[in-house]
Amino acid sequence: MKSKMNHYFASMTLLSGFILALMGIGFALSVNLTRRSDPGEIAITYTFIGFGLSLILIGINLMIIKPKEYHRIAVVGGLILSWVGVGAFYLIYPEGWKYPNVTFVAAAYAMGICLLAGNAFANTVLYQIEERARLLLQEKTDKEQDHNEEDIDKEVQKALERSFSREEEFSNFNLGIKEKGYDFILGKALTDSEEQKITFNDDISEVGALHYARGDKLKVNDKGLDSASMLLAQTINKNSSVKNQPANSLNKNNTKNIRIFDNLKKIFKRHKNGKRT
Amino acid sequence: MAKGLDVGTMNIICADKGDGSISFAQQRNAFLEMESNDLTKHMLDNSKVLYTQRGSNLNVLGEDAFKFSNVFNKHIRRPMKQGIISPDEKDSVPMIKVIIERVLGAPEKKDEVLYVSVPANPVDDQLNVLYHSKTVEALAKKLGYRTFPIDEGLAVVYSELSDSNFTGVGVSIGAGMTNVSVAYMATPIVSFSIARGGDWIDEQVATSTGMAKERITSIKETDFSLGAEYELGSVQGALAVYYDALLTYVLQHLKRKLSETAPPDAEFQVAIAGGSTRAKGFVEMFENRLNEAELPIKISGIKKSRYITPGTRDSRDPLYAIARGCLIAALTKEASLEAEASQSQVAEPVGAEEEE
Repeated sequence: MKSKMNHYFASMTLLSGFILALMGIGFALSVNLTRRSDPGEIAITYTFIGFGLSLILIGINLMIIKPKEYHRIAVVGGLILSWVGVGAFYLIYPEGWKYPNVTFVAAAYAMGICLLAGNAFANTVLYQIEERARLLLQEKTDKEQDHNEEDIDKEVQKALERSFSREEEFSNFNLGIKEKGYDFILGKALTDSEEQKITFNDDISEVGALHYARGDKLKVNDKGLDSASMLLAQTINKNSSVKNQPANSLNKNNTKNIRIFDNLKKIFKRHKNGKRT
Repeated sequence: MAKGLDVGTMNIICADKGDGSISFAQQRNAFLEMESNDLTKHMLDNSKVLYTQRGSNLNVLGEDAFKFSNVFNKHIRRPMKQGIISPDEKDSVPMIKVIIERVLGAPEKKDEVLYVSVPANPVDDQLNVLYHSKTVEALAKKLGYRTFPIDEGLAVVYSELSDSNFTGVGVSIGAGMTNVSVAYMATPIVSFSIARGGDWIDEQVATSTGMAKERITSIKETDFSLGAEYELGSVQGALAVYYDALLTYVLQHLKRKLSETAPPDAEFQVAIAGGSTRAKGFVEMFENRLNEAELPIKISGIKKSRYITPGTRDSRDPLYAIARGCLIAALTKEASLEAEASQSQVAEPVGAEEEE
C-alpha cells in the first residue's frame, strides 16, 4: 500500500513539474518574452520553469525502485538547493541580480539540479547492473532447483558404481568357438579321472567386504519407492530450511549449496571409511 | 557355485568354494612331446598320467611333463609365453583348452559365474593381451560358464587386502609376466603389466652362467633364498642379481605410472603374489627396494603372504592368491546377480496382476 502511495505521489510530482515547466514556457510565449521584457514577466517565467524542472527530477527520483541508502539525502539536498536557487532568483530579481549574487543563486540551483539528476542516473545504472546479476543468479538457482538433492545423491552414487564396474572397460566382443572335436585322442587319465584338488579351511570372508566396498546395491525400478524417497527428501529440505531460515535469497542459495556439498562429503567419507549407514 | 580361474604362464589354477573351505585344482601349463608306442601308453595309463595322442606322438601334460623332461632330458613346451598365448607354439590353444577343461570341470549349473584372470596391458613391450584374454574367455564360456575377466593385480588386491578395505597395491610376479594394480576401495587406479617374470630371471641367469634353463628353474625352486651370502660365480648369486633387477624395474614403472595419475591421499598396503615370490627372503628384498623407490603414495606396509613349506600349506600361498581373488570376485558377482534375480521374481506377479 505504501509502495502504491509512493508511486502515485512520485507520478503526481513529475506531472506537476511538467505542468509548471509548460506553464512557464506558455507564459513566456504568451507575453512574447525577450531580454527587454518586464522583469516581473521574466521572474515568473524562469521561476515556473525552474520549479518545474526541479519537480520533474524529484518525481523521477521518487520513482526509483530499491534506492540506495544515500538516495534520500541526495533528493532532499537537491530539492532544497534548487528551490533556494529559484526562490532567491524570484526574490532578488531584478534589483539584486548582480555579481556575486548571481553566482550564488546560479550555483545553488545548478548544484541542486545536478544532485537530483546525478542521483537518478546513478541509481538507475546501479539498479540495471544489480538486476542483471540477480537474473543470472536466478537462472543458476532455477537450474539447480531442477535437480534436487535426491537426484544429485543418486547421480553421485551411479557415478561411483560405474567406476567400480571393471567389466565396462573390457571389450564386449564375444569370441564364438565352433563345436569341433580334438584332432587328437585324449588319454585314459583325462577321460576317466577327475582332477585332484587341494582343500583348505577358509571361509572367504572377503566376499561380504568386497560387496560393500564395491557398492553393489540392488537396482530396483520401483516408481513408488522413488516417489516416497522424493517426498522424504522434500520434507527434510523443508524442515532444514525452516530451521535455518536465511536472511536473504543469496544466503538461501548458499545454505542449499553447502547442504549439497555436505551430502557429497558424507558420501565420499562413507566410501573412504568403507562404512554403510 | 561360482569359480575363479588363474590362467598363468606356468600354472593354471581353479579355485572353488566348499562348505567353509576352498579347493584348488592346479595343473602346470606345459606339455612334453614323446614318441608313442603300446608300452609307453600302457605305462602312462597305469600311472594315471595326463596325455593326448596324435598319430605316433604323445603330449604329456601338466606336472608330469616336468618330471618326464628331467628323466628324458627333453625340453618341455609351453602354451603360454610372457603371460599370453604363445604365438610360437602351434599347439598352444588346444593344450590350454585341455588343461582348462581339466581343472575347471563342468559347471554345476547353467551360467555359473567364473572370473578369469587376465594380464593388464604391458608397459614395456609391444604385446597385445586382447587376443589372449578373449580366447581364454571364450574357452571358459564354451564350457557353459558365465565368464568375466579380471586384472591379475586386482585379483591379488581382492584376495589379500580386505583388511585395508581393498585399498592397496597388488603385485603378481608370475613366470611370464608381472602384473601390478593400484586399487582404492576395490577400484583400480593404475593397472599395468611388465613382460618380465620368473622365466625372464631364469633366461638371464642361464645366459650368464651357461647352464640349461630347466636346471636354473629347478635350483630356483628348491635351493635358493634371497638375502643369503652366495659363492662367487654361483647360480644362486646370479638369481639374486636378476631378482633385484626385476624388482627395481617393476618399482620404476610403478613410480612412473603413479606420477602420471593423482592417487588419493590414503595409506596403501602392498600385497605380493605369484609363483616367483615364493623364494625365501623375497618379501624382505621387496620391502627394501620399495623403501628406496620413494613412491608418490603412502605405503603402510607389505602384506606378507606365507610361502609354501611342506606339510603347512594354506590357501594364502602366493601361488593361489590370484585364483582366490578371482573366486572372491566371482562369489561377489554371483551374490549380486542372485539378489537381482530374486528381486525381479518378486516384482513379476505384481505386473502380471496389473495386466490381467
